[in-house]
Amino acid sequence: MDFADFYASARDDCLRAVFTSVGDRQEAEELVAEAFARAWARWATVGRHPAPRAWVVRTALNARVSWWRRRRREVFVPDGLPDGASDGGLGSVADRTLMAIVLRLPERQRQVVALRLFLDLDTAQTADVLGIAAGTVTAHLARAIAALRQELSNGMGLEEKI
Amino acid sequence: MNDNEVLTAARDSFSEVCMRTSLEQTVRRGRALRARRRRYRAAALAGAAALAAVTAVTVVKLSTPASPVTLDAWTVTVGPDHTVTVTVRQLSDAAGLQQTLRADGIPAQVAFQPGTPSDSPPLPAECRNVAMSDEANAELQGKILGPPAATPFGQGIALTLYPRAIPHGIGIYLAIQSGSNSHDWGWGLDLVQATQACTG
Repeated sequence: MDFADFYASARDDCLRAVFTSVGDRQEAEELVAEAFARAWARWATVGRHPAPRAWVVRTALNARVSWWRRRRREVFVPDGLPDGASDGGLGSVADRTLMAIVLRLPERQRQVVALRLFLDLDTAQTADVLGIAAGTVTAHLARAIAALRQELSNGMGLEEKI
Repeated sequence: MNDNEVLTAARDSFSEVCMRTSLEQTVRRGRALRARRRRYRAAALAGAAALAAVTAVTVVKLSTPASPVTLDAWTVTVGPDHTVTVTVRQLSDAAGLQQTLRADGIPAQVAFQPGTPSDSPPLPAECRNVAMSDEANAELQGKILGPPAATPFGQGIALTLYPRAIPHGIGIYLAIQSGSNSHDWGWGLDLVQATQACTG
């Protein structure tokens, strides 16, 4: 696969994974863009990586973003609803509400959920990317799912929380 | 709801979150990174240890009248659009490769450097960097050296150079490295002042 094909197929999932992890839409965009640029610069290596999407996400999360980051920030508000207007539309109210619920999960739970949701990594791969034990991954995922289920089963009383 | 249904609902809620950064922007940034780092990057090539055992001379099919220079260690071919492809399999005879590139019209200094790839190797004492911004340097390097290409298993490193993109007065310093464990390879390109001492 050449880089252009990889970028086209992976960029949105990588962004969603990093967005879920960091909780800031603009920061996630910058981190992922930087990670993809690094991937391009060393595509001979990354292109052979067994999980290049995981490489990008891990690089984004580890990145020490410097001069390339734009100074202006559009800070996403993780405690509230994503601002659909500022993002050109973030889907339905229900989607935005559920997204906000995901983003309110504890950080480690969000990271585990992100890798499972958007990169489809299994427990061992997730543990490797995050540098934690497989059992810890399982525990975080179980807690996250329980929390999400609780919110969902509370009804699509979701609208009432808007 | 079972676990999968919960996760599916959560995933779907992010479906409208999409990257705004274009491929072109990403590639441009990648070039800038390579310029800042003098284009050093590691390219893991499994099986590199076996390269030392390569004895057969590679046969290169050419669609141009130019004759390839083919050794066990490296091959230089000139394409119909005057692109020059350099394939390095062993760090051997850097002077010969340098002479071949110069004969093909590329003011070049070539070095083979066994050891761990470095992001900031020093220039040879006789060479001087050109004075230009990182962005301009990156843009020009992007015109001179093609995109990084993954080489087939056991085939070493392949680089494509565009000699016609090299402005008068500018040359290149091309360094090829292999890791100490012979499994990692890297290469770097610097734009240097074309002088007799540096680029011939």
